[in-house]
Amino acid sequence: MSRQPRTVAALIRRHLMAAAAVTAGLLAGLVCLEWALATAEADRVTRTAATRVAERVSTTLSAADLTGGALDAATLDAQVQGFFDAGAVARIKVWRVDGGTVRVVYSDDRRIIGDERSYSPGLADRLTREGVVILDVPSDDEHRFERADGRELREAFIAFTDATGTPLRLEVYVPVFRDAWVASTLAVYVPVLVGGIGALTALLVPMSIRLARRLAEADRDRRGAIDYGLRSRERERLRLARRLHDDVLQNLAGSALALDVLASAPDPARLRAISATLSEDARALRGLLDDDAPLAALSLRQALDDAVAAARAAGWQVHVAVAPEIDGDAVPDAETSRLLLEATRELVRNARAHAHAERIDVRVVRLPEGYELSVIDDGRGFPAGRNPSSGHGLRLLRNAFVEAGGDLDVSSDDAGTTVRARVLVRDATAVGR
Amino acid sequence: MSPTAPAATACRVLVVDDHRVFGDLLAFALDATADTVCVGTAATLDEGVRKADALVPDVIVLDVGIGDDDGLTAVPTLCRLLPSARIIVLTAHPRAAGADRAFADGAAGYLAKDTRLDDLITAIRTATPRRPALTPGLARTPLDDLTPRERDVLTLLCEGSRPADIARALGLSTHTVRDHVKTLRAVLRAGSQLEVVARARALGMDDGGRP
Repeated sequence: MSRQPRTVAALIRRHLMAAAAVTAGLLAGLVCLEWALATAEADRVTRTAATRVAERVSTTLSAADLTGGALDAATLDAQVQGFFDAGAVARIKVWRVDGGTVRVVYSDDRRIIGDERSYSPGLADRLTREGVVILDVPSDDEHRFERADGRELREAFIAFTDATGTPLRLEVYVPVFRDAWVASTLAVYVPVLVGGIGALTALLVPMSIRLARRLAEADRDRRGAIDYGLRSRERERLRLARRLHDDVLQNLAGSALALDVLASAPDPARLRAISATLSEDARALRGLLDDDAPLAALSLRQALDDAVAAARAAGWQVHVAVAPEIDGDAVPDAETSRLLLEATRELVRNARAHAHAERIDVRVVRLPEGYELSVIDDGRGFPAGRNPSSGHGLRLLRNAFVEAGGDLDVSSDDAGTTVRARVLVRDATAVGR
Repeated sequence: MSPTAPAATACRVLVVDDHRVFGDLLAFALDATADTVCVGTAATLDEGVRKADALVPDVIVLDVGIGDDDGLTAVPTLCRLLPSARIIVLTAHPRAAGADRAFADGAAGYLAKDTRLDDLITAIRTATPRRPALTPGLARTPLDDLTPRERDVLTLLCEGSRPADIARALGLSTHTVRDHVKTLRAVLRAGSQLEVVARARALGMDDGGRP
């Protein structure tokens, strides 16, 4: 009993943990997917913009001779102004490769012109292979002006050569909205995801708890039934052992010894005595077996008296009342009688064991369609909160009555317990037989 | 027909058994067999000890369940009283543990009551504490290896006592009794206290002497 809440708490905890783990997994997957999609889109936008700029400035760059110094900034400014106006490009730089260094020879921001850095063979390789190389904009000194306004940028490199054959690099900075894209998508999906899983969990937890309770109950029932079975078997064994006692076994063992001797030296008187002993044993064994069909010789009333004899002998007042017509011509069939007797034994035993009763009334009356057995005690009733029909003996008994087309109900209060069990006789004429 | 006259060297047997029919039939069988003679029968342990003292038999055939007494308790007494007599324990419910006890106390045989007459006579003639006769096939069960204390607890459990009652009855703490019950559950591989009782019974445990 005390294990139940622990089990339920553990169950809820496990559900919540599973829900949290699934949610976290799905969210992580979603973020990764969105980030990849947004990056691909940002790269596409950057590549398009950079390619357009390259097309626009290619003639100018290819014709330039930069051996002397700077590019014709004004011409380039005019060529690319449209991109800045449309907001498609954030910055443009043209680098000239000069041995081990590269130097800015043009930018729309004049402060940068003349900046230098070392030549990157890796970038050169990629440019040869891919044509357009797209990169994140690093937070370094070189990009101090691009980073300044806080916009998210991607940069694209495209290779040129000037009129003298000197390699040039066109670098185009394009504003992208990758972070904003991911954030806005998640803003839609996360509540749906979390809410959905939450709702699913809320729906499943009570069902699981009900299921777990039912399983625990079934398990208790099963254990109870096993216990009850063991107890019944044990009772039956004791009953047999009591009745068999040692007599039959010892008589048989002694007879076997004596017969062994008598085989070589027959003694009629001794043999007759042994024969009598064996007959007695046979009678004892038959009595044992016949105990299950006592009605062959006894009326229901006598059989009930027999069934409660143990309780009476132990000091209980047990009153047996059988409707007169039942002991007259309306005798129940053997199976019905056996059920009534078994029920009487079990119910009287219950009353003795659990009810602290002083007086137990056993009544059998005839119903139009069968018989009703009542066992009424003046004990303390079932303890509050305990289901009167939860005992396994009682439950099995109820099953037996239901199988016989009847039912069994229990009512219990401070003044005692009443169990009424009805058994139907399918063939109506059997009642009047 | 008269029984065979006892030879001068006939083995003199005293039968101690409370079951009249069995005792008489065994006495008859012994008298009818050459070389054995039943010199007396006794239906209680006291009577058995008295007759043993008076008749000085060569062999005492001793039942285990004699009324409410345990025949095995008389083995040491009889051995002291008649050091030369050999004691054959004859029981309706042979147990390995009973055999151990009987032989430890000096019995010369431990046989089931359904033993064949030939084997019983052979045992009466030849068995000694050094070469005892034992009913074959007594299975050893976990019950045989219980400590006396565990056996007490098990006996009370089988009588339907609860651990608290057992603790009171044996003068132990409830905790100790629960430990014993736990051991019993492990030894008998039983899932519950009730199953302990059922398993013990299935293995031949009885309420205290006889079933």
